[in-house]
Amino acid sequence: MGIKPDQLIVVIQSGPEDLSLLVSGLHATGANNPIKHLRSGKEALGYLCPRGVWRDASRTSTPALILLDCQLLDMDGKGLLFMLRQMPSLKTIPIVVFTSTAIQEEANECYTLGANSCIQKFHTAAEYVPIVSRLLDYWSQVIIAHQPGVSMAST
Amino acid sequence: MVMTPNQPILLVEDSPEDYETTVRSLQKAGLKNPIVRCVDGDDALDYLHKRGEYSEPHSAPRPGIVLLDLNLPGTDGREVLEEVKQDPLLKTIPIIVLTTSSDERDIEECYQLGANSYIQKPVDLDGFVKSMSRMKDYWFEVVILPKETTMS
Amino acid sequence: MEFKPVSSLENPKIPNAFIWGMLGLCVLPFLLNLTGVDFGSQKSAFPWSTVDELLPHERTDAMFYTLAGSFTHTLLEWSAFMTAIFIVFLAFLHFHIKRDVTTPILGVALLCAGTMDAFHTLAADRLIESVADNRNLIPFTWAISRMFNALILMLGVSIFLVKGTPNIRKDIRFVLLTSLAFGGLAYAIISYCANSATLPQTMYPDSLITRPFDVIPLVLYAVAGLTVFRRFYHQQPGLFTHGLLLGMIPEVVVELHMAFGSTALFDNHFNIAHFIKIIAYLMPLIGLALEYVNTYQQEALAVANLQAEISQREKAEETTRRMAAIVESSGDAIIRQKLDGTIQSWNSGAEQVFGYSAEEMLGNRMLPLIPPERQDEEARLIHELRIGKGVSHFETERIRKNQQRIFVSVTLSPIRDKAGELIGYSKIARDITDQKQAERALTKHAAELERSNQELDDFAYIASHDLKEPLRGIHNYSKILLEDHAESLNDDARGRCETILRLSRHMETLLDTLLYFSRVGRSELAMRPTDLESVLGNILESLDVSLKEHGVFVHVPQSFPTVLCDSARIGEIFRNLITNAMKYNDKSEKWIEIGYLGGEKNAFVSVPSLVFFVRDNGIGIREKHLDSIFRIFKRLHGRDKFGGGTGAGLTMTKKMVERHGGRIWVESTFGEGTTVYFTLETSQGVKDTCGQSMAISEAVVS
Repeated sequence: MGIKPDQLIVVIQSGPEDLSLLVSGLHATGANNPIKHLRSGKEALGYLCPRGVWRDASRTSTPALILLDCQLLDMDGKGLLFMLRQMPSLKTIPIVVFTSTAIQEEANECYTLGANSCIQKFHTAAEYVPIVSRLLDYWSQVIIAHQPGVSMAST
Repeated sequence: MVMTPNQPILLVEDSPEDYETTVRSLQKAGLKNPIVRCVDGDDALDYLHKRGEYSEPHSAPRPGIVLLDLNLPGTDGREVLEEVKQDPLLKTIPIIVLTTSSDERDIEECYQLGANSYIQKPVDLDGFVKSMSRMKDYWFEVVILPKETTMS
Repeated sequence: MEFKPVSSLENPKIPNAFIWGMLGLCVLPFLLNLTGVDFGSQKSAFPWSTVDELLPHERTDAMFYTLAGSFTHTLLEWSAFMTAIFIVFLAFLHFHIKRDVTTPILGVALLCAGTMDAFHTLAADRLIESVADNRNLIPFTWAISRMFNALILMLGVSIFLVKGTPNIRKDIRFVLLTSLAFGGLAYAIISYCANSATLPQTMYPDSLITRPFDVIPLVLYAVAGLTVFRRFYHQQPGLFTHGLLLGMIPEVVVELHMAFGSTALFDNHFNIAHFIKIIAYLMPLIGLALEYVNTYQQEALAVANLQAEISQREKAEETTRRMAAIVESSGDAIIRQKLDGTIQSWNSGAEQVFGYSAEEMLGNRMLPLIPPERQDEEARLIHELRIGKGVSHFETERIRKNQQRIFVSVTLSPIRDKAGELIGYSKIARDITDQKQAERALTKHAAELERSNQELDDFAYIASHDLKEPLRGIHNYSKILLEDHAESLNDDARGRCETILRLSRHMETLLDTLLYFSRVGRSELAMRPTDLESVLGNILESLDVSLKEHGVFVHVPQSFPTVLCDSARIGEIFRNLITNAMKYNDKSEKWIEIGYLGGEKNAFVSVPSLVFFVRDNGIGIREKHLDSIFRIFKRLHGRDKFGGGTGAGLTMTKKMVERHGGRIWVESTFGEGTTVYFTLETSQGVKDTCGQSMAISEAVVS
């Protein structure tokens, strides 16, 4: 239905520590999905954009889920979100945005720009575990993802 | 981050049986928020735009999320989705498409139009309860939902 | 034999070899004289003293010896005369062929001169009654005949130089008259000479000019050669006239020998002169003879050219005939029209296509054939031709004589005159009404097919959506009934509620399957080179748990190739087949073998393909069921046996194989096991492991 265990999850995050927290949260839930870590907005565009100036030949499969940190070093995460949402090939891929503060305006803005949902960032791995667990639960168990070219499993 | 209990869920569903099942599942999952039902697309748009029978102030509080069926009499779910996602004030409201169809075209169209999630209604009640429970968990406990900040 | 003319046609000349030969012969006797050779006839006096002792035949012999000079003279003169005879003979033949009177007239002139020579000889030999003394007769008649010879030739030639008009030249009577005139003149002179008792003295052996009478012909020949004959040759270049011209040289030499050399009858110069005179006669003869050769060669050449031309013309005519036959027998209308539209040709194809006969249409225009709404079309097409654009397979409508509308495909080709100016056009019109109707029918059929596909699509969508909604209601309400009112229901009622739940679940599965089945048929295949090894590896890994649960051992003896296919679909094919092989097995030691036979052209597919198989030692299938196993929702076993299922797996698999252009079939022995085979084309996509698979296939085949 949703994200399958072998499908790629892309994490766009600048701080290495934050990432390790998130990834350990992911692993703590028992998920074995391959994770591609992109450390800057530029890298993300290069990896996700199928053609044009950012094109990167190393990308092999379309990600099933994009986790985006709102604070990137080289550009505003919201700007990146906007750009990603303009690309037809990425329009149907869920993007979950992590915001550093609980400022409501930022979340609202992200929803306006096309985020599928917004989640607050945490400071310890332990805090991430239940959140990521439920996040994965939701996107892999409940949701039907759009999977171009991949047929539905038969009965 | 957690949804305030008074923020309602808007459930757009024409079938009374499905409505009853959904409400039952959500309540079983422990949802406390009020659930508002609209029976078709026009009704839902009236509610969101606070017009028609919802023009009275406070008669139509802004929903935290919308659960939207696709096949509706009259204005169908896709049109509701498109209109809401193009409205600058309404587009922040997460819309979760809740439908029977597992057709690729429907799924792609909904995501293209800006649906925040797409959930299939299983025939099996137990499965449905589980889905609703996880959905509620995610949207009401994990995610920061948008709030109306500019207008009441 | 080469048809190479003896000399060029424009200015024919006697070949140099002859000329040099002639000149050599003219000079040779004189040169030999210088070396001491004497050509004079040995003049032995008649032995008068001993004449009485001689026997009669000895006297006759003695007389012959005495007359040796006379004999030599006769022979030489007669040779010259015979040459003249040959000339006239050939000249008339020449006239007969070419109708050119020049030759016979001059031939006759030469003959007359020759006749004079003959008379001179006969008189000298006393074969003609003549009264004059031979000592005077011979030199005088010689001189006369020489003069006659020179004059008559000049006269003959002058006729043409003065009156060179063609109508006279071609008149045979003119030839005869001239011949008679010459003949008469010759006879007059001859009879005068024969009947004159005294003839003038002509020989003065002691003077420088021994025979002054011969000075006249000498001058005449020299003058003739330098003037008259030259002009004549230039006026009528030919081998004969050239021969005449050249003949003047020996004539001059003859006269030189006579006038300045000969002092007596039958002496050295006398004989040389007579010999060279033959050469003088020979030159025109050679000219005539060569003209013959030339004429023959020219004619042979002309005949060859003519034959070539004839065969070329025949070929052209054949082509024209063939073209005409094609035009006439063509089923297409082939029409030639002037620029103003006037019809110039109308073949039988046009009669058939348009229904109008050629008589009706020739000279008229196409107007009645063109539908009212297309009246300006013809002008537009001609404009296209004018600006150099071709009109090819232009599809339009025309009206037949019976007012029936037909579709035609029109091709126009320009017809230009020699200057390249457009003067008309040819038109080929093909009746494509049937084709159009077929196209329409096809389009209609395609639209119908499209519609029925759409209906099928819609049906599947409705099945998944609208049929499920009440089903969900039934299911959920039964469930709610069980949950909320369990205490007020008895066991029987609860059991029936459970059944409703189970049936509605099954119903949903069937609906999903139906929907999916319709999708398999319609969605595009994502064809790309796929490493089947890894596809199979993934599937076996994901089925690992169930395989272990069932206690099935999977055996994959070969390494799998890379094939152009939709990896997801091929994965599903393998998954379905492996799942079936795993489920339908009641043996204690269960195994599945997965492999392929590669590359051979088998009976089922025309392109090289690989035959994959999934073999098990399971329950097998009875032969009577082999046909029905691919039918959708067909199950061979009870619903709860062997793990259940909808009975759509094989149907789906078959459809996916067929979408890949392959074929699927089953071999099975009931109770022993089943092998499912399917083919995949390898013509495009096999890489790397292909060679290996081929090697394996060869091993398998052999």
